[in-house]
Amino acid sequence: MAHGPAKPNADASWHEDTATESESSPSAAVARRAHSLTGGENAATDSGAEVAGVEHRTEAGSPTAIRKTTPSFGATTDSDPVLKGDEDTAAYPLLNRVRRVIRRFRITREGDDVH
Amino acid sequence: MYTDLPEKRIRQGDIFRDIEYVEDIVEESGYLTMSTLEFPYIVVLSQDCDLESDYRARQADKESTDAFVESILVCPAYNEDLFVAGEHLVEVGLGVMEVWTLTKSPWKFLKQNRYPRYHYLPGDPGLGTNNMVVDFKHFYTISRNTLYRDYERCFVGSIKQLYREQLSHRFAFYLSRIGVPTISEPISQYGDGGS
Repeated sequence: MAHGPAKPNADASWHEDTATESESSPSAAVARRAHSLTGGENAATDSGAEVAGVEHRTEAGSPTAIRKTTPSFGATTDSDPVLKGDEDTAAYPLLNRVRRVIRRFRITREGDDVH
Repeated sequence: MYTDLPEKRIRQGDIFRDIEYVEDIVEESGYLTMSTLEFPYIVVLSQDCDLESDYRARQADKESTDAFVESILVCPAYNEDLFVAGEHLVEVGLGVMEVWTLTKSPWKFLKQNRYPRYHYLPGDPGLGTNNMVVDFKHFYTISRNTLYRDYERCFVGSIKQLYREQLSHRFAFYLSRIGVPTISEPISQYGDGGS
């Protein structure tokens, strides 16, 4: 069944359409969230394997192109700021950085045949 | 300066770590796009009496919801090293901000809380916190229920009463400041021929 735009409602479920967040992050919080958001059989994985129920999206040049930050409010980039930030400022613990994270979720209705 | 409190309720001066703030959610063409900010540390600035009343009222399970609060005012507390380098908000897209020199007077003044905009929070080995700086220009409200839900996982400690009141007072002062235009002409002009 085709699934066009659907409004979220009490009967709707929604699945994250992105893969895991940076697995190399030492941040416990990030790891916890990545676990909770990518856990279960509805999640895609870093390996790129397609998982039923979730559209696996990747951005060019970034196998983990999930996390996006904005260079200015409103505009997004496809870079992975976690890794780059680590390289550039290794002296600063990752946990001490304020970060913006943007996630996209595809909305589906229960019973939809999701591919 | 900090204390751990037996009663698990949110108080003014509480410090929490790893708080995620939902900035925006947009639905478009069958997708939800959610933007969040991850704060390594925040400090609670809502009035403590309001927070206590909320807690008591909910504990008592009273029908009256007059004392309930729905959101809690917080300020991010930035890591000192990142703040000094002006890099504390690089990853939210604000670029490098003012860079401070540790050996010069402006930074010393900031640490002495002589700038209305900033508040210095010394680190505490017991709490595992580094030195941090609060910028009163940056404040947010977080859902009361969300913060209580994350209490066990995120609570770090609480600022003792005297210091938290200093923090609260300075925050209120900063927010209530009156912006006046730069005076470019002698004030005496307003007195000339006045009624």
